[in-house]
Parts: sequence; structure tokens; C-alpha cells
Amino acid sequence: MNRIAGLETEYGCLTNTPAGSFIAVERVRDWIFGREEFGLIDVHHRDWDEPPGNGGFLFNGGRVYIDMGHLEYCTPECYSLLDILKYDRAGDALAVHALKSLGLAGEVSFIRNNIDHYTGATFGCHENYLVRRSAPLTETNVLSLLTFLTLRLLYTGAGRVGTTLAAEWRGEISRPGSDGVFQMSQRADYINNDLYEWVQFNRSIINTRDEPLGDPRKFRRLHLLHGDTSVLPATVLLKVGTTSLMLDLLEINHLPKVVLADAVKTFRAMSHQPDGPWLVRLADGRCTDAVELLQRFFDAAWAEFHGRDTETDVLLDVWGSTLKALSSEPQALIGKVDWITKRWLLKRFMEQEKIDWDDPWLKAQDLEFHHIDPTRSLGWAMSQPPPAWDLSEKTIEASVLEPPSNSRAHARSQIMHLLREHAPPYSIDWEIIGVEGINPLNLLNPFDPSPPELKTWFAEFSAALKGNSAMTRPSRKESGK
Amino acid sequence: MPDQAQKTRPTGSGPSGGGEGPGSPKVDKPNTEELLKRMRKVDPDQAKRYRQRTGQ
Repeated sequence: MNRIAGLETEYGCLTNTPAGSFIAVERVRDWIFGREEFGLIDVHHRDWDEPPGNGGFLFNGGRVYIDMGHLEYCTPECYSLLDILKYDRAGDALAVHALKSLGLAGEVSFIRNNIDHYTGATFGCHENYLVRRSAPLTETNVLSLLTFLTLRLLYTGAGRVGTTLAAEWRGEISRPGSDGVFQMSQRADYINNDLYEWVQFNRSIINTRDEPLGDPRKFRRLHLLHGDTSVLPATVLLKVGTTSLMLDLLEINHLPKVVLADAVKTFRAMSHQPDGPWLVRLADGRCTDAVELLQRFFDAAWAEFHGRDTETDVLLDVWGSTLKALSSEPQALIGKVDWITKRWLLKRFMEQEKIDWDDPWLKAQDLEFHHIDPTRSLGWAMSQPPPAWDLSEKTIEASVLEPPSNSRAHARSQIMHLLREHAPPYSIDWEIIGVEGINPLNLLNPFDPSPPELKTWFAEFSAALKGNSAMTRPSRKESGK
Repeated sequence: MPDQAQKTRPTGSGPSGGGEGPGSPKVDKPNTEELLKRMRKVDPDQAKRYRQRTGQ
């Protein structure tokens, strides 16, 4: 991957009583930070709705916090596709550990999906991609990127039972719609706009918030909230990997010029057509097949980047075979593409139980597909990842504690270990770390695991410790922790 | 840190160009008998207990 990327996952929480989730989420958060084994709790206000104690950074470079009642996990800054997968799974593993250790595993479950079938509530999986500030964001390039982000639904949708009557304008409350259908996307019903800056109302395909969390002269951040939370490894990596390839093309101004007549309408309509036809209208009035358009993006990426490195070649191979299968043999994607896998499994279950799509049992199974415990997840049970993307449990477990070695997360984690031992008043953020009494450390380059300023900062920190015993608390050993 | 994408010219054309490229994935149907049995044990009403707030 030619850029830093990361995922934010808002987990749903299933408890025996509806009100139980609020308590469970707080207990899990407190367990994660209580012993300072996995991370350090925030001791400062990050925002008006993020007071001290609401969450914190993890030693693996990620973050856990409570956002609008949901447990939310952010991966660290990842510089490879496999790291995206490893650290995405690490979030699940951490939450499963917490539930088991708290003795809650039998009564509380975390679900990595995006909908509540009965209330119309939605919550997201946000994707973040560093984009070089020099990328030519011409109108045609942005609209072409919008086209890709719309059509990728064909292999990134998580699938869902039922529909939600979509909000037509800001602030309107969504309501459950028809039950008797299966659609390809969890989020499509909730996407109202092509480009917009807000994240809760008037959700758009491209969120225009430009918050680089790095040197703003060099970087921007593409923030996407229209995608579903992926379950199968192949879907996770196709989603992030192919989007990153499109940004590679954008940065060299080689993105194919393909503009849809109405991206939002196309996105919503396609989601409701799992059997196709996936015909879409272009801005020039022509109607064409969505897979053929995706093939144009694929061909451009292949022409520019095939042979660049092993990771890219594997991604291109999987992407190319996925597009072929979408046209000719979608069942070949069982175990690889979420919505195709879920739909196939639910259909088997419907045949066995002689029930229809509007049976509530299917909504229950829909949730079970997204369960984060690998021993319960129907999705995990169906997973058939390409060999190169098949991670061991041991690898995922290691990622709960260790940061990526090749991104800024490594530097932040090093400093956090120091802060854990000495506990001066601190504030930690993605791109800056503040400690009372010494100069703040800016981490403006997300690619750099060992910025040159780190050595000077460590020296200042050490000198401050010697000169100010108040900065030092008893070590974990001395305090008996 | 790379400032620009590392461009390497292709060694072959993509699938639509008719040259070397990925074929369709192998179709390997999973054995779902045990899974279907497990699905029968799922509480049919669990989605009704799954009451979530809207997030972002």
C-alpha cells in the first residue's frame, strides 16, 4: 500500500436487556484501560463530547473510546494491507478478551455491523486514507473517484435483511421499511449525498472533512463513511486495497474519467438489486454495466501498478478474479465477499426452515454473521481467504499489544510506555504528545516510526524527570500493580 | 517516505486486455451442515433485543 490507512469501527452491543448495553460498554472500556496493560486513558478533554476518561490510546497504536453510546475502536496508522487486517481483528480480539475476563461473554456480545433492524439506527465503519496534498483534485477526478466509491459496493457490501426508509433531508429520523428483501449494503439506505462534511446527518459518499492528522502542507485525509463494516478478510482488504489503488491513480492523474449521472441514486438502487442487472447511467446519458466500469478502474490500476510489489500483485489478482466472478459466477465469491456469502448462507437456512425473508429469525442470523467472537461468527465460519491474506490467531493476538513497526504508531507507543512508567500529566493525540514541563512532540509524518525529534524529546523528558520528582510516580512494580 | 506512487510499468495486460491476468477464483463450496445446525440454536428474537443508538 502506497499510503497510510486506518479503520474506525463502531461496535453494536447485544445484551439480554436493551438498557444493558450502556453499562456493558463502559465496563469494557474501563477493563481495557484499568490496568494500563493495553493503553492509557485520556486525562484531558479531546472535544466537547470526549471528556477525560472517555477513552484512550492503545499500546498497539490504536484507540478505544465511547462514541454516541458505541464502543469504538480505531486501528493504528497502517502502511500495509495485512496490517489493516491484523489491527482490525485486534480490535475484535481485545473486546472479546474484555468480555471473557469480566465474565460477561454469556450475556453480552459485540456485533460489527451497521444497523439496528428495528429502529432504523445506523453506525459506521469509517475508512481513512492519507492522500498527498499534491493530488490533483479536479472536478472530473473527484467525480470519477465518486464513481468508483459507488460501484465498489458490488464487492464490499456486507449485505442485510430488510430495508430502512431513508432520511431525505438532514435531521429526519429513519424508519424501518420493508422486511421481505435482502440488499447488498447496510449503509446505502442512509446515504443522502455525494459530497458533504457532516458524519451523522446528511451522510455522503465522500465526507469532505479535511483533517489530515499530520502535516497539513503535505497531507490530506480522505474520510469515508458510506462503506459497511466488513467481516470476511477478503472483503476487508478488497475494500481498503482497491480504494488505495484508486488514490494511487488519482495522485498521478491517471484515474479513468468515469462520471455517473447520479451517484447516490445509483448506490441506493444497486443495493436493492442483488441479482442485478447492475446497469448504471453515466453523466453523458449512456447506460452501462457497473462491472464493466469497475473493470476500467482495474485495468488502469493493473497498467500502472502491476509488478510494483508482491502486496499489489496479490491484490490485483484477487480484485481481477472477483470482477470476473461477479459477471459470470458470483457463487465463486462465497467465503470472500460478505454480501454474497451471507445471502447464500441465509438462503440455505431459509430452505431448511421453510421460512421467507420477512421472518425475524433471519434478522437474528444477520447479526450472528457479524459477531466478533470467531467461535460464534457465521461470517468467520464461512471465510475462505486467499492464502496470502490468511492470518493466524497468534498474529492477531500479537497485534493487540504491539504497534506496526513502520508507521508513526510505533513512536507513539514507545512514548506511551514511558508515560505509563512515570505518569507525568500528559495529553496524547495522533500527531502530538504533550507532557507538562517540556516541549510538545509533534508527530507530523504518519509514515515515520522514528522521527528525528524523538531523540531530543527523550533527552528533555529524562532531564525533566531528574529535575522534578513530582513527574515520577512509583513504578508499577513498586506500587504492586 | 515515498512522495509519489512508485510506478512500475506492467509486465502484462489486465484481464480485459486478453493478456495474462487473474482467472475466476476456485469454487470451493463450504460444508455448511454443522453451521446450519448451529443457526437453529440462535434465538429467533435476538435482533429485537439489539437496540442501538444511531452513531456516525
